[in-house]
Amino acid sequence: MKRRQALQSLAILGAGLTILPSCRTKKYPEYRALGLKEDQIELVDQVATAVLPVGQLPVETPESRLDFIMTMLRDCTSPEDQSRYKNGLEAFQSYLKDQFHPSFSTLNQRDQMKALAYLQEGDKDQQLFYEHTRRWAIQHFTTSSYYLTNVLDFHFVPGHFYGCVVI
Amino acid sequence: MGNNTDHHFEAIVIGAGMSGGWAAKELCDHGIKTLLLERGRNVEHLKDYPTTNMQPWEFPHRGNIPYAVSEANPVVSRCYAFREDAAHFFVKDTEHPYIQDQPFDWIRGYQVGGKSIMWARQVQRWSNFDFEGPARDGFAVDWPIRYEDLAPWYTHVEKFIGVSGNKDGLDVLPDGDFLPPFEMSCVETHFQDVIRNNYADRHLIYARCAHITEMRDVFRKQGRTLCQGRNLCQRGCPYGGYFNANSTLIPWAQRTGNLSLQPHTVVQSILYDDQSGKATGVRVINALTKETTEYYAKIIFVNAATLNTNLILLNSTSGRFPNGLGNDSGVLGKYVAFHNYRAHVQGIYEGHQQFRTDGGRPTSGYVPRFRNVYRQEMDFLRGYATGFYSSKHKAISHRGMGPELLDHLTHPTGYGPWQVSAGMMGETIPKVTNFVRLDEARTDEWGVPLLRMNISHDDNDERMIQDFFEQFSEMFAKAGFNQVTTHDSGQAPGLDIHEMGGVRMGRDPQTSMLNQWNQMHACPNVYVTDGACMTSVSTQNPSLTFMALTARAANHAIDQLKEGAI
Ligand SMILES: Cc1cc2nc3c(=O)[nH]c(=O)nc-3n(C[C@H](O)[C@H](O)[C@H](O)COP(=O)(O)OP(=O)(O)OC[C@H]3O[C@@H](n4cnc5c(N)ncnc54)[C@H](O)[C@@H]3O)c2cc1C
Repeated sequence: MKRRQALQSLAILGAGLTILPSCRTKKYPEYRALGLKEDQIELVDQVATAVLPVGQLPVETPESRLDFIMTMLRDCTSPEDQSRYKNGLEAFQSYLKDQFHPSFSTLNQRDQMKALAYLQEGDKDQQLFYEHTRRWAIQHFTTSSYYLTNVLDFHFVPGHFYGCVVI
Repeated sequence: MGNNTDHHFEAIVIGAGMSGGWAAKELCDHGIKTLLLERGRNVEHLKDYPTTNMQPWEFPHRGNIPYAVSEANPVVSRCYAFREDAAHFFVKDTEHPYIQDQPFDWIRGYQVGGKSIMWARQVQRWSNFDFEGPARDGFAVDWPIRYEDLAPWYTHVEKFIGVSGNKDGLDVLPDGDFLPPFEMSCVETHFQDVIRNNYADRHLIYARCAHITEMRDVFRKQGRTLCQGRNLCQRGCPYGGYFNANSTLIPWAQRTGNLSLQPHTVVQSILYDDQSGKATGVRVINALTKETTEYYAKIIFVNAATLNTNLILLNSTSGRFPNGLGNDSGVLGKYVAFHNYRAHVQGIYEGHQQFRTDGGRPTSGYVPRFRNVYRQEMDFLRGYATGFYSSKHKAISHRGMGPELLDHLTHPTGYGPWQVSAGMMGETIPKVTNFVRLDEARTDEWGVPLLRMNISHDDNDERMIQDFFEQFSEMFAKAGFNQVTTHDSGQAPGLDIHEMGGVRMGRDPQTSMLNQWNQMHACPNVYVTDGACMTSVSTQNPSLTFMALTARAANHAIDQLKEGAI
């Protein structure tokens, strides 16, 4: 029993050690396991906002768009694609640095679009980073109450079915 | 262990799913003290439907199953209904492993209600073309019953569960006791006309479904109300709009005061007494504590769902039955069959452009079997029924980025064309080479041997798929559908979730396990009335037939008990 406990605490220690170096974000503890830095997570948010600027639309969802994207990245993405996403994100950061863009969010819209176009044309990992972020931003928007009720014909409890109505 | 009298009942029913629920309900209605044993947890109607009123945006993954879950559970992840809103009703691969000598997707629901919570509620009767099939075409063995034997029990079941449908007057698909149908879509009506005008023997009908569309006293007593067309049935319905065992059978049986429902109880085997030549009870394992107990009764209904019923019987060995309970013939576990769901034909329809549907409806179109009905005419045996689906969606472009993308998403360009598709439901032939057996060494966490699956498609299935592709491509072309493509999913048996057989009914104890009342030939106080009893599988979704057979057998058992015959 003692031996097992000792092994267990070693295992916990070991796990802690591997997590610690990547535990760089205090602000987003729930996404710690992804090993992203705070500024990287914020860049994801900025890219998502640039790709799909919902602006003042009343998109009320239980979680923020960034939270949704991070949740999908953490839970619904293979470890391989997670690391490719991260590579793509890092490559994008270097690109921004090379272009002397201090921060993506301060770019004007034209430059943001140019930067996104670069991503789309980039290597496979950059494309994956772009496509996944874009897809999740769209999914978050198009499954919102605002979108489903105002743009689509969504009724949670239809209570009827008409087989043939004129559009 | 409790005191001994607690362990004696008049009847034991193994499995609290759709068919076991029916056995319990009928027995309790007739004053029989019944113990209903269920390996999973209890699921109470309304109370235990945690997702039923969740909006799409309230699911953290918007319906998707987390990667780690689908990686660890590839089999159940292939089931279309295993999504974030209903995943808690499905058995994960890791929870109860089995061995695939050939690929077999075993989709299960271990809880009170079984798979009746998540099912698709399609309920079409069989006809004599189905019951006479094996005898006419020379496969399996002759069914010991005919449509006339089952017809009153179909009605009995339909009246209680509520079935929405049209009286279509077709000999291949007898009419039942129906509640009003929902409307057909304009494309269904169009396709119906095209089929009627081009083929004397083919029909498109409204697929009959187990939904309440008109109030009746019996539904009021059950506490259920009309279907609201939400199409979220797999979560459990707050209205009780569709039939599941939880909203109807179980509480109904409980109200009689004759039911003891015991969840978390894995039946390991059925006990047999050499002296009396009868089964005396069951040996069970507490799913949580792993403690072993026995329960005793005069009659036993085995309703653990097809393959678990096979497993329990194979595992019920004794001096008299070394190869499994009632298995004098050696057919136990063999002649398993399923429905061939591999094939789809898809297309678009640009007609009826100015029309769409509005609201929600829990069913689709249905083309009953038209191949080899009156005589053998094709290069394959039997035939297929077909589900027909039509839908129309707003045309929304996902192109571009920035304000342009937002503009696309928020400004649909009208509606796209109708999307149409046909899904084949093919009859497969039960064969001795399609079987399940117990692994000799490996057991599950309750010490029960693992089941090994040896079930596969054959050439007959392949030929039928080709015919389905040809016929529906032609029918779609005649209907003016465009961009018609055919798809073979290549999916393994099992994903149809219509596995049947292994404990088949028949006239001859030498070649079958059960008689015309679903009683074991060799152990008459044991009844098997779930899919395991099926001699052949036909093309129709089978559960209505399981329920009708169960109700019929239960009433036979009640009479036998009263006469002191068992
Ligand atoms: C997504 C989906 C869609 C479907 N659509 C349709 C459809 O449209 N039409 C149709 O006809 N059928 C459909 N089916 C199939 C239908 O659900 C089953 O045929 C039906 O539920 C079978 O009833 P049953 O009582 O045999 O099994 P179940 O309803 O599965 O119940 C069996 C019960 O036995 C319990 N059990 C198993 N082993 C043991 C044991 N050792 N000890 C104690 N208890 C045990 C299980 O936990 C379970 O609760 C569908 C199924 C699914 C999952």
